[in-house]
Amino acid sequence: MVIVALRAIILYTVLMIAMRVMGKGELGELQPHDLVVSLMLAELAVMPMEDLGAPLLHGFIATATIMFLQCFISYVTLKSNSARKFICGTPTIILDHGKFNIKEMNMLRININDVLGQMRLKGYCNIQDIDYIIMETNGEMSIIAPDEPPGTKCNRIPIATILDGQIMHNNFAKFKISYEDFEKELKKKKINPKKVLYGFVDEDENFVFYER
Amino acid sequence: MKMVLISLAILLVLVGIWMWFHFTKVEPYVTYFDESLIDLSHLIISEQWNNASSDMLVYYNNWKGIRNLWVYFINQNDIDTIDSSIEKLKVFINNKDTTMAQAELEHLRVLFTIILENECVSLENIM
Repeated sequence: MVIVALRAIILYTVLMIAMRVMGKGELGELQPHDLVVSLMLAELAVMPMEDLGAPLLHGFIATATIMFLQCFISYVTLKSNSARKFICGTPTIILDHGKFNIKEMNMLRININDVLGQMRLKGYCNIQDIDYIIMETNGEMSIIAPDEPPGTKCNRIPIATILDGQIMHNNFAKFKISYEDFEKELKKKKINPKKVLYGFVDEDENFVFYER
Repeated sequence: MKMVLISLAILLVLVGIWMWFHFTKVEPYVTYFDESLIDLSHLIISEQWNNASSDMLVYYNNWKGIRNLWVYFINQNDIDTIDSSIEKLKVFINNKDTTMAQAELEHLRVLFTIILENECVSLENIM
């Protein structure tokens, strides 16, 4: 029966490492150790119910082991800053006053569409209104913007012209944006479209480009 | 800290119960049954069927006594296999079938050894 406890410890550790390696995007508003416990407890509750031959005590020991590990990890992360950093990770700045942190975005495996989606979910339609986008340790994105309430400046959502180096030809026809003006703007600003992470036309018909 | 200590206490109580069970109710009984089965094997080889039958009854009653505790700690399927093997051995002894009785007796010894091995804390079991 101690085998059950040892197995639970090993599986908990493996799942914790897997969650940390997979990154914050997989967490869905939970800390890595919270998500691991949710996953494991759900399975542990089913195990003794399914296997009628297995004594209930096996399930109790596994559950008690997970309960202890969860309390212990929570306590350690509460008391030690370095343990918190190791177990939960640190918040990551993705956008800093118009500059995307591509290296961190690649490490977190989040793309420009994820960022734009989160921005819209939080009521921001224009990236220029935002000072910072921060990926929190629980996988949620925080948006820090000037005091003005989000969305008030948005008469029309910004139309993407370039996403991840690719020109969005469909949008030009769909939203009647002049491709000639777009090309002129690129030439004027001496920008190679392939080096643009995100380009859009704002509500005042200005072409804005965020390079990688 | 309070919750860490409470959860640790619960875990230690459960592990303590397991250790009590393993060292007082599994190891001694497995050793007892193993030695008893070796004695029974000698009786079967020398074809002392009356002695073998009366010894078998004693072992059977002892097994019935301990199995009611084992079901709370050990997988029911393992216990059912031992039950079935003991019943077979009883029939082979009553029918004075040396070959089958010896084969079933060795099978029973292996089943008891497996119970002990499954409960041992070893890398093989953990993996």
